[in-house]
Amino acid sequence: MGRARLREELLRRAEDARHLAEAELKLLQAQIEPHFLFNTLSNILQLIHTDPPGAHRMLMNLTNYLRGSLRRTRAGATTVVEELDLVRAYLDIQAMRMGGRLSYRIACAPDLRYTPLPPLLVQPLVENAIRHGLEPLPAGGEVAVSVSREGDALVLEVIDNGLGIDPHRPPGVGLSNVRDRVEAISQGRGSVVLRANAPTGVCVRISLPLGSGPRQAERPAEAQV
Amino acid sequence: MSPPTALLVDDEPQLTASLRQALVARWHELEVVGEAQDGATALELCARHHPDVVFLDVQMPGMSGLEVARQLAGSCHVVFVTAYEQYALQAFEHAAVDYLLKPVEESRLAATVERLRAHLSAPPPDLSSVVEALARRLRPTAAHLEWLQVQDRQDVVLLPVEDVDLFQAADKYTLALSGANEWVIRTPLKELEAQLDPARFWRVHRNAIVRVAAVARVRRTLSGQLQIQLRRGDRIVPVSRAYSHLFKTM
Repeated sequence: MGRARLREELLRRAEDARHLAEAELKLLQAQIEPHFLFNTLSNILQLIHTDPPGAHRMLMNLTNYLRGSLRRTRAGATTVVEELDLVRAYLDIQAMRMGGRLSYRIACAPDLRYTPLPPLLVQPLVENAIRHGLEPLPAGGEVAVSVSREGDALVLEVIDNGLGIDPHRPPGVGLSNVRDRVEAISQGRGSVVLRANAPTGVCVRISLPLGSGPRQAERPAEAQV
Repeated sequence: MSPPTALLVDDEPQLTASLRQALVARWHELEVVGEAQDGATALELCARHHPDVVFLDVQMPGMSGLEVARQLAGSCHVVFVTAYEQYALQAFEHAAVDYLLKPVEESRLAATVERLRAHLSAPPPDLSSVVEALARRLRPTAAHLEWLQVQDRQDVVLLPVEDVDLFQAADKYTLALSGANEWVIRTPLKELEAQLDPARFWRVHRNAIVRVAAVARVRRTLSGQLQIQLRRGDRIVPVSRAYSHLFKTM
């Protein structure tokens, strides 16, 4: 009886490890969306003539976005603040591309900034909010990203007031990947829940048990948010 | 002869502005009659101005450039503009469809302008077959239900059907079992069955539909009845005789 349970437990762990490895591989492959990259470059080329400071800002954001994305595919764990920096760079580029149709907010409880966080959990959700929620709307809308603590859980939320989910569109690679990794990382104790936002749009909420992941990162002496 | 006219369509305003500058610089007599940021506006402007040529971004939210081209149905020349379209580029090359890559290169634009100048008076080539094929590929018709809306206190939770292991009929409602969670859906099982992908969801009993990938094993009881054991949880689902043929090879 005890041995059977042990074997089951070992099997389950091996299965978890396999799922995590698969999800991470897919994450690598889905890294940088070419359409986003080339359209951003086209925008920069135009802004060089019409709005040089804007071109400068967009290029800096793209640089930070690329650096952040590439670093994270190698580093196992990053921190909340690193993820939010990446999200900010991405959203700033998108806001410029969409010509004022997009606004965004990013909020983080100060004591959670240096909490370790597996890479690219928030970013794919923000990309979904833009691509499926707000880009299709001529009037655009808003994305709000927040990081907070609820009891022993780290809560990451991405809320948009866009088009909402098309019940006939299968969940994309990005979302499935986030769900698989949350499941594997938290050994089933975390969750990814999607809700309809009122009056329109989608609210995605990731909950991860605090302190379950890698050890708390050292707080850098001169870090900034 | 009236000057040639063009309409520029891209959802990003910076990019239509940039294309306008580049075009006007090397095609002085060209008159840009409008810029549109979405497909519906593009069609409207086409109907109003009858441009000779439309520069059309392929990937736009809502109605794609391919859809716009389909609806234009050869009423004007079309140059597709795209940042990156893995499948489209091959098809464009193959069918000799004119296209530009973003960021637009000077030399490439020059060649396009030359070609347009030479052919603008001729009727536009028929793009319908390549456009039709690509439009289908870029936006496959998603016929099946992929998301459920379930009430959770005052919230509406969006649940991917991929997450549901078992649908069980309960009076007028349906219970959706997802791991340790159980949700109530206001759609009767019969209605759900018609909307779910039959390759992924099987009816196994008058009152049950299982997700095939959620099945751990199927056992035969002493009385000869088949029983499904799910991967998650310890729920046993009986298979009625009428559906037992589904598991013959399992």
